[in-house]
Amino acid sequence: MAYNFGMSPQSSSGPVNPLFASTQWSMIIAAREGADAAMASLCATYWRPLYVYVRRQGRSIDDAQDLTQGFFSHLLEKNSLRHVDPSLGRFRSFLLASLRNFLAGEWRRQHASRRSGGALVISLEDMTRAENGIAAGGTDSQTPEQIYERHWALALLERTITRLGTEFESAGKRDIFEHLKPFLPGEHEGTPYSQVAARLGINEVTVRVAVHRMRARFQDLLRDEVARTLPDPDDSRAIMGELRYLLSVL
Amino acid sequence: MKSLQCETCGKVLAADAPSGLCPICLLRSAIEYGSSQALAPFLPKLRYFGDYELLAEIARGGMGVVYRAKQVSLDRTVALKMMRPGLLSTDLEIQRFLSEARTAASLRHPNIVAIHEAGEFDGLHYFSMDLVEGPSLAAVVRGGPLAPDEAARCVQVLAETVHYAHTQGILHRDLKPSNVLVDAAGRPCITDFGVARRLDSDATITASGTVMGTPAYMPPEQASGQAGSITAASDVYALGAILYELLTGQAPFRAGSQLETVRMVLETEPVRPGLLNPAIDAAIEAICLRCLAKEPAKRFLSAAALADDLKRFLGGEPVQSRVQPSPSFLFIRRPWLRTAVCLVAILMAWLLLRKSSSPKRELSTGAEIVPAAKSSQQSEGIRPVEPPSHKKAEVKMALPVVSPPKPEPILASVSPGRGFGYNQVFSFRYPALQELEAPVELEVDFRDEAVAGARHCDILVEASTGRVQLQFDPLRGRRCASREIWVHSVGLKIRSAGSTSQRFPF
Repeated sequence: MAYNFGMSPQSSSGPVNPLFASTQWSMIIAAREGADAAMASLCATYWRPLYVYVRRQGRSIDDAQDLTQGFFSHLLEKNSLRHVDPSLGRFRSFLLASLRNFLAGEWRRQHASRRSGGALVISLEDMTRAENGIAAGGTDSQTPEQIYERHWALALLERTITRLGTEFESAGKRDIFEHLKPFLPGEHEGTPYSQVAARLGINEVTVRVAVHRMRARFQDLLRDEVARTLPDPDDSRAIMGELRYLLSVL
Repeated sequence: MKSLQCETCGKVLAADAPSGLCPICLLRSAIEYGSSQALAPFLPKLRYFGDYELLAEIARGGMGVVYRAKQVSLDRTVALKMMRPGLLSTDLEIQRFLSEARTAASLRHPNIVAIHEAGEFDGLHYFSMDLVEGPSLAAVVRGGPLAPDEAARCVQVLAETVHYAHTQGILHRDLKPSNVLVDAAGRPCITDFGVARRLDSDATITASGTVMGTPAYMPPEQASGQAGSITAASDVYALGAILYELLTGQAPFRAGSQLETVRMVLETEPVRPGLLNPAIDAAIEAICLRCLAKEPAKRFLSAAALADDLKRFLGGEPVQSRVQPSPSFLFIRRPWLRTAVCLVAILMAWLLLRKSSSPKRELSTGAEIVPAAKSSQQSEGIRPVEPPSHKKAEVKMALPVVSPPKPEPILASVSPGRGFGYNQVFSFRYPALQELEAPVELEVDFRDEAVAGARHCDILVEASTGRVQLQFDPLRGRRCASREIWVHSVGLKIRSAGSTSQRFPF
């Protein structure tokens, strides 16, 4: 009996086509022009690093929530984004610089009334994880900028895992993904391949091949996520440089 | 509450670890992983090639590059093997390349990667073949030895396939785990007939004094350069070496250098698989060691006989192989002849090293990694990449045997894994040298037997001389392979800055 753990031929190993990958820059421009979906996607991915940064500035939970939400509203104002230019650099740096300016300015006081009742909804789970992240050991010695970058890297990884899981799910292989997911970080001394093979009722070599393909796909998706935050999504060297930088901040 | 640990690196997982997985290992694994995307920085410059649209580079070998490609006219995805630019190829190499295509094309078997067409476009020779989207057996076994039954089943299929090739008059001569691709259904497919030979040919292409093949999987008669002695039993030996690696996780012979490996192939007996993996029983061990007999006549007479014995093992029947008390030394009994053969073999291996390493170096440094002085001679198709801003550490030599660890360990920040398939570039940044902005880079070629399959590396630095030594897999029970680099060439002065060696997984 033949098993195929991969996705469809197109999605299983093909590189993500940069032509169809909307960059975060294009999303922010779309959001500026009123696309709600783009706004929601931006918030969902980057809310946590921004929120954690604000919290590390000494703000209370309520205050930090309010400011993060206000920042996104501010970001989408046509006037504040009129100079946004993808050639400016990394999206990561742009967002942080914008947040700094926002926090330093008087915007919040002047626009407090407009923010109330805004559309940014943060789930309790996200909030708990963000707070757990802040409470996690070793952060006391880190600057808010370092913490922001660490959470940026975590957010990218989380989003990539979610995309990978969604691909397996759409292929009707969610269960397989859950079994193979622990192998994503690399070889380990935990559950052996043979045990996973027995659980799935297939042979061990097939499991190893499936893990190999899953890792390759994870890498493709992660590179795609990173590419979206760079001025030139086709610049392989820049993508690798950013990945290595993110590794250094974890 | 008990804190969770990463099962890969052992570090405690933070509460905000993504999906409960270690973020450092995730990112490192993604950076290191040999996916196609990371391998093709120059692809946009060579997007179309005749009828093919190049999608990604998937492998790189001594003679050329393999791409995942779309054949536009037939709208199908294939693997396209392209020879390196003509200016860097000799007529003999072109002849070999085309010979590989012809040999493989004459075989039709579900476990042999099928060839579609061969040709030349824009001065570059190529052939297209089935795309097997899976890891090599070498990558599969990197996760640890297979269960004996799984290993036996896999090699049984390979043996039947090799027997089919033999019946068609073709010897593979370079069977090894990295030349076996495994598809999504777990089916092994043999590829790379680059050094294959017809049994009835006069072997003019490959018998010109060059040792062909890979020493770690090569039978003694091949390692000693006796081209005329290579028979079906030689492929049986290589199948045994594959079985050995599947059972134990390591090749039967692996030393710090190819020369040393050749010497071991000729002179020493492999460690019994059962000593390396207690799960291996005597029957499968006997089959494996029979394949690895130094004397061809003591091996299975054919690949089919090997397949049959493996079938008996899998069926729980008594196998026909018995562990033979092995001769303590070479199968050649006359001492003067033994010495002569060793000398010839070492000379042949030296020729192999010269033959195989210099063009690879040219290819990798000239065509896609670093523009060398010869870059202007390259074809228009593949242009060199911009020179990296980092200074490059120079690999001076490989030590056959590791010297005692005189150098002191250094606390170095190492970011491994950027590279092009077998070629990986490791960056070193020394905390003691904060003023140095760019990291030093070391290029490691994983085709080098010294480091192939290695999973850990210790970095040792001799502060007085500025010598950096990399020790690969020092704790895995195999002989320690090493590389030495000197950093004088980039003007660095290394100081010891720590008390523990740095270890990182590949």
